[in-house]
Amino acid sequence: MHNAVSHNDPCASSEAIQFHYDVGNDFYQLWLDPTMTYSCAFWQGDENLETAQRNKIDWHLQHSGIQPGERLLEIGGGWGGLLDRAINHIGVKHATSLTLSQAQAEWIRNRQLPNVDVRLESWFAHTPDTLYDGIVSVEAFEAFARPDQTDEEKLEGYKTFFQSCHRWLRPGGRLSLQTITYEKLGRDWNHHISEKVFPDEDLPHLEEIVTAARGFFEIELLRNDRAHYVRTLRCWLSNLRAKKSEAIEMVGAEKVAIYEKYLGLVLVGFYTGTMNLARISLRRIDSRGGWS
Amino acid sequence: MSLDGPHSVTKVNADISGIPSQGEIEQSIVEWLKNYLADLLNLSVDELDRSITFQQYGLDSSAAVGLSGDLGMWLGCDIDPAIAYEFPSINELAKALADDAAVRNAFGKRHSIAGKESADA
Repeated sequence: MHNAVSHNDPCASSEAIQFHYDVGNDFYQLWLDPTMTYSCAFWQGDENLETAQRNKIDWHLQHSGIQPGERLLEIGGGWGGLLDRAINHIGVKHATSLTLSQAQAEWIRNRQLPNVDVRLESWFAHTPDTLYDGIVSVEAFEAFARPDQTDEEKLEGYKTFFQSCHRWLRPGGRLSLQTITYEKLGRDWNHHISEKVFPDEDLPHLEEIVTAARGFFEIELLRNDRAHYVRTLRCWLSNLRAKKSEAIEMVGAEKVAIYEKYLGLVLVGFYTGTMNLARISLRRIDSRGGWS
Repeated sequence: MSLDGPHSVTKVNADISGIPSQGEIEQSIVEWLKNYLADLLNLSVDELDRSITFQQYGLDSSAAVGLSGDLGMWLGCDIDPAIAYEFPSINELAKALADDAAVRNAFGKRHSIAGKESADA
């Protein structure tokens, strides 16, 4: 199925997603770590960015509860770093990855990972063949609502997401989620710079996630890790500045300036606690409304 | 105009080696920040209080990130985008930067008497 975004789909449009990610894989490769992980790393000590990104991937695989020989669903696959680890390190039997970015889908397919099904479709349009044993979604949740929705519509979209994950998981299955959240600031904040880089997206509040998951998932673990994002962004910015002339040659001075400003603004957002970074481990509630 | 930072450096009394001292660097940064903020906020340099926070002057995150970028260009080294939050007044920021050996080194290369002509060019 291609670009299966229906009218009711609460997600940012595939055009909006492609606007961001299809600037070109080569551009992101310049300043991301070698695993091409474009989300907040997990810092434990004085490790480098690549190790901290692998820590993050391992954290989510661990909290998805996925075991060798099982089936994994990844929602928002990035450039395939987590899939690679799931297949080649954990030894999962099969992994399905959903993405709305053509460039990322092609990149993952070119990696020719065995037993991986990369689909260019929204979670809203996804219909699995069989149940999954675990689900991971790293920084895709930010695209599950749009700025033009009312608060009620936004919450309904999130509920539909958790309801879908609940339906797709075997009993006892887990969902490991990572998302940027609004902390000090609310929906009225929508800076023009972020619109230029991430159009058509809206962030969740932590309480919206908790409310939307109620009845479908119990929260086993929650971490707020904005300091980890400040450190990750410092690495990206430093890499981008070190490769600035190559970057300008690739995408032009204006685009590089927009990204540099954007990374700086987001860094300040995390530094000041305007935004936060939630990592949440959720366990499927198996007996909804039944015996307690 | 606030961005003519190098002109204020001409007031620096460099020692015989041509490299400004830490105190002189701090003073140069104070002058640069005062000029920059006066221009940005449409105030006269004399009206600026060096101990009042940038936030109290109404700087938003976009302006703070812009300041870090312009400051880095003037100093000749990368400055963290959150620096104006970590050191939130002219006095604190100038002192923190002048305390940083990497900043002093970059400043010395760009603004010492020997290197000044190339910086102005």
